[in-house]
Amino acid sequence: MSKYIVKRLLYMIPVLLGVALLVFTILSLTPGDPGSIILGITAKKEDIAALNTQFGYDQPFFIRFFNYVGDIIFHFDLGTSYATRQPVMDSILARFPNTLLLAVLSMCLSAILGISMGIFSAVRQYSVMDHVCIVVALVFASMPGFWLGLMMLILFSLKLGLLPSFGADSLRHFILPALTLSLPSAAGLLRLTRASMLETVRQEYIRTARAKGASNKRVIWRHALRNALLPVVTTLGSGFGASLGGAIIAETVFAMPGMGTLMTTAIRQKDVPMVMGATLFLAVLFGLVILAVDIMYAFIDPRIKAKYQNGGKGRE
Amino acid sequence: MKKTLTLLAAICGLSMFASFSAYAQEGKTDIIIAVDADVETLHPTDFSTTVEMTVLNQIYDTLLYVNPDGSEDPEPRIAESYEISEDGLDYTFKIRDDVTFHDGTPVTVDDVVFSIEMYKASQYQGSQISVLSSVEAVDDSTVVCHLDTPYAPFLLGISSPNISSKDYYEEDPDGFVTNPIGSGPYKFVSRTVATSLELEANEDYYRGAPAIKNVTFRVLPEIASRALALQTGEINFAEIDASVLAQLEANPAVTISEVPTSSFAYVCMNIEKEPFNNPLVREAVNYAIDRENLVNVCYDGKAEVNSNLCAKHRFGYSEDQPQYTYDPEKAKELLAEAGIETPYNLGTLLVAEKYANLATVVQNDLRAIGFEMEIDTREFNSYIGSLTSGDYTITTLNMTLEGDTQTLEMAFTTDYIGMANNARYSDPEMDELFNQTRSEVDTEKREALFDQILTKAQEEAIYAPMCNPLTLYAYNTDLKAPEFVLEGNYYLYDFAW
Amino acid sequence: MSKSRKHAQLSEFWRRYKKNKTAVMGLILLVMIVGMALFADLIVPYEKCIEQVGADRLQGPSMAHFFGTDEFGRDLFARVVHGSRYSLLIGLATSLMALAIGAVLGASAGYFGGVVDNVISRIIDVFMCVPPVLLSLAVVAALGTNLRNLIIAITVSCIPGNVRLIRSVVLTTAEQDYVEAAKSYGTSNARIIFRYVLPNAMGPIIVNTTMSISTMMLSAAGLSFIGMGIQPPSPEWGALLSNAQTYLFAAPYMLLFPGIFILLSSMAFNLVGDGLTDALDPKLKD
Repeated sequence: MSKYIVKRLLYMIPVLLGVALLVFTILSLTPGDPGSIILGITAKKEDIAALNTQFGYDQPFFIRFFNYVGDIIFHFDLGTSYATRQPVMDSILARFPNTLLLAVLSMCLSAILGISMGIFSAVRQYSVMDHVCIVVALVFASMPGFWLGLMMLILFSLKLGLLPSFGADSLRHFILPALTLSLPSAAGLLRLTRASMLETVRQEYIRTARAKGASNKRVIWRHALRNALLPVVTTLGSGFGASLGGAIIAETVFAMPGMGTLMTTAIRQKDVPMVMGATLFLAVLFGLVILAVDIMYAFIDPRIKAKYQNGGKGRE
Repeated sequence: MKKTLTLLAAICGLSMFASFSAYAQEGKTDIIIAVDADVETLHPTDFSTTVEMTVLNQIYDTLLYVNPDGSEDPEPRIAESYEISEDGLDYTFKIRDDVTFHDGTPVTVDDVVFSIEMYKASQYQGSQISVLSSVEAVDDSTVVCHLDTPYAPFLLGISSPNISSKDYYEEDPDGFVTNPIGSGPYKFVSRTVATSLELEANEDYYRGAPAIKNVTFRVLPEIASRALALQTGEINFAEIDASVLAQLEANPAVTISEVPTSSFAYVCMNIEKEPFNNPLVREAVNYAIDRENLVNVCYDGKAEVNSNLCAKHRFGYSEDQPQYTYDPEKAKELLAEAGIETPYNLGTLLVAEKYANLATVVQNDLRAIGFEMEIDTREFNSYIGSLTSGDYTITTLNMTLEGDTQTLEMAFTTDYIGMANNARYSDPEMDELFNQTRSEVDTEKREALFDQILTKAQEEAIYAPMCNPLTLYAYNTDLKAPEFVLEGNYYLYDFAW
Repeated sequence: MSKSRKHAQLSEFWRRYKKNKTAVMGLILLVMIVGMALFADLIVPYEKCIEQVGADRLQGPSMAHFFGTDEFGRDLFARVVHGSRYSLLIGLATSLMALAIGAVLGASAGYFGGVVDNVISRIIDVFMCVPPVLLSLAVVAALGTNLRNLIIAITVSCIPGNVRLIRSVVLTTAEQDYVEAAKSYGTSNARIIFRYVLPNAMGPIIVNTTMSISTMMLSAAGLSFIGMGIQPPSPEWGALLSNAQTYLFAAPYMLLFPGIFILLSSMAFNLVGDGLTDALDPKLKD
């Protein structure tokens, strides 16, 4: 098992290099240079050029790229932002807790809502409540997240005055953004859990269990759920990655200082070090989450654990 | 599905009937101000955004205070008096001896020299005093600035450098930027990245302690959120725009101030390209635009219609300079006279995403006189690239050339092609006129020169200026805010509850 | 496969699809929305959605303007109706392009295995590590904002998922006997992939594509919302919402109608997708 984890961690290195190259390339294709973006159109050409030189932006593409990667590897330094002239790491660390809290909260919310309602729906297949759940889930899954956010903002902040409209000062500030982010994904999870439960119930071993006279409850909780949750856990894992991405939009709607708003601003300002730093930071996190999900898999499904112990090749 | 619709209808219905609550507070001494972006740096000279300038204005003091509309004499600050030599090349400042930095050390002539030199060397701000050749301290209370050539608006330029402590810079260059020490009415307390920044009153301020004791700047980029927060009392003061005006005006707990600015929204035509190399066509564009409608649509009426690049409140403006009003028939005649056969395809109207509204209206107005075009929206940085390199035919944007009217040279003179002269207009006579206004110290003569410049600009229809947007400040009605001056820079020292 | 057998399969498929009432509802909804897009000019002329009437700005819904007017005084009903063309086009184009690219890459990876699979899979791993919204944002920033670039940006961000899906489907199909048989006859690889492997893996692919149209429409709206959409005055639904946000309080109806239409069309694709899943996979319905 630990051999497998080490192997996976090592594999992250080339992937991260790939991510760095990919984003760096796209960014270098964006027009404009940081000097003129920061100083504006009334600035003198010399001042702009001086600033660009100061940023090292006058160097050719590959030199800039290797310098950047070199700094990360040898000095453990994500560089200095063009726009803020502060270390990128500081900006990230100042905002990351908000995004993490938002992502974790919304993932928990959607897991609790989605899985419980999914089981509920599956157990009472074709009942009125099942239909209500399915319809509600469908509506939320089909909604643009930011639209839902704006609607809730009007209702809960402006009209009812129950919740704050912006910022990240207290847990209360996270309620609306977390709901915005979690409701659509909870809807997806509900559908998935329900389908997965229904499919599992039809499997041979469940029939066998039933035939052996196990109670309905026992069949569901002991046998069906465990197996039905497998695909759900995968989705939840990649869902965490998605909610980190989705946070970009939720943070914009609720003016929350997080990674999302940080990156959108940075992309617009062509703040290369900031975009790179934030992307790599998220990519590392994402890689770790996927790894954690794979390990979790092993605990839920003993067959996979056996595969790892045979020095297996991952999930293929 | 029906359920969803009912739910949505309910949400909407609720929004129609709910009302707002007003917040009033007695004996308040703190204020929360919403700003649109985080302060990225607190360096006294290397800053670039309005927010940074606003915060620094509270922490630092300057030699003089000059009203941006040039209507009054400069007010003394750290310099208690000043003198200008006959030839206009030497500016002598007497420095007050009772001013101290927030750490208790006195403000000396060395600090003043150090600050001005740092400002002059800054890539961000230095161009404002580019005529300064050297600055020196002649004794313990006198500083002299030497100029290369006489420069009429120098006092305005020299009133900009924030006076900072030389010793502090040498001791702790990092702290100098992140934990600034000035001599202004407010002391820096703390900053939370991306969220807020706190200041507290400097009780020892030489002009007397400020009335507002604690200041918080909150980062709140969305105008809609600001409007909401103003009404819930989460913030006390914010710049807003017209999109939330109706709802804030309806709330008695919120007051709105309209502040004139010199920034201008305009149509910029590339004079190097067909058909805009013909002044008649540029005139036609000027006549084709319904400026009143544009102001209504894009600024909800909160802008001053103006077909002159010079704002009405600025030195040099006169009603007698030619003006363009909405007259599509005249525009069509001018096009016919210029030999333009309509419909004429202009290709694309280049625009940055944030000015897309202007483009939408202008496209509509120009279509009415027979110009066809597609709107090409770009990210701001890509837009600026094409704009400054002349890689466009026609565009709409908003630009600010603050300070003395002299700054208009950036839009009209050959030296600024590739920078702010985006029409790419080049005329030796115009260049010479701006050279004269530069060194002319006699106010009346200088005004006559500007009149000549602006008349020429209007006659040749170099640009098609449309309006000067107003800055809108919204704040709690209980807050006693001062009268805001041109450009809307504010000093919290002038505020009280 | 003979024609009549194909025909019989189709009618059996339709019989199963018909049994599912919600799926039929979804199909009707979908037909209505597609109809609206196709016949937009008959419903209301395009001229109406770019015509600016200064006097009519920000009017709430009325008989003259069913959905009210925007800040330029343009009729929102016309804009919503014509907006369907853009939103559907974006959804369809991105899904199909991502499908095509995903099919080529995924099928090659799954079918050839070995080095090909390794190279493709590692590249996909890299793409999977960047949040899709961020990837789209960066691509739009690099290329500029217009309809074509928006489609490219969204396509790029959803190719990795498609490659993975098609690769895994092809992996299972490629092991089937008939593929082995075709190989033994010396049939060319490309022919085997397109003739035998892909068609037999079609079920999950069709379902996934249908569902992805809905997802793509939502992501396009999201990008438009943060101001990276298409050029004005084109009435794409996301762009309408982005405008509406500015007038959140003064004119909430501006937010309501485009939102409802995005919701309905995205729901239609989801319902049809669900229906297809059930109809293609009869074992779930016993």
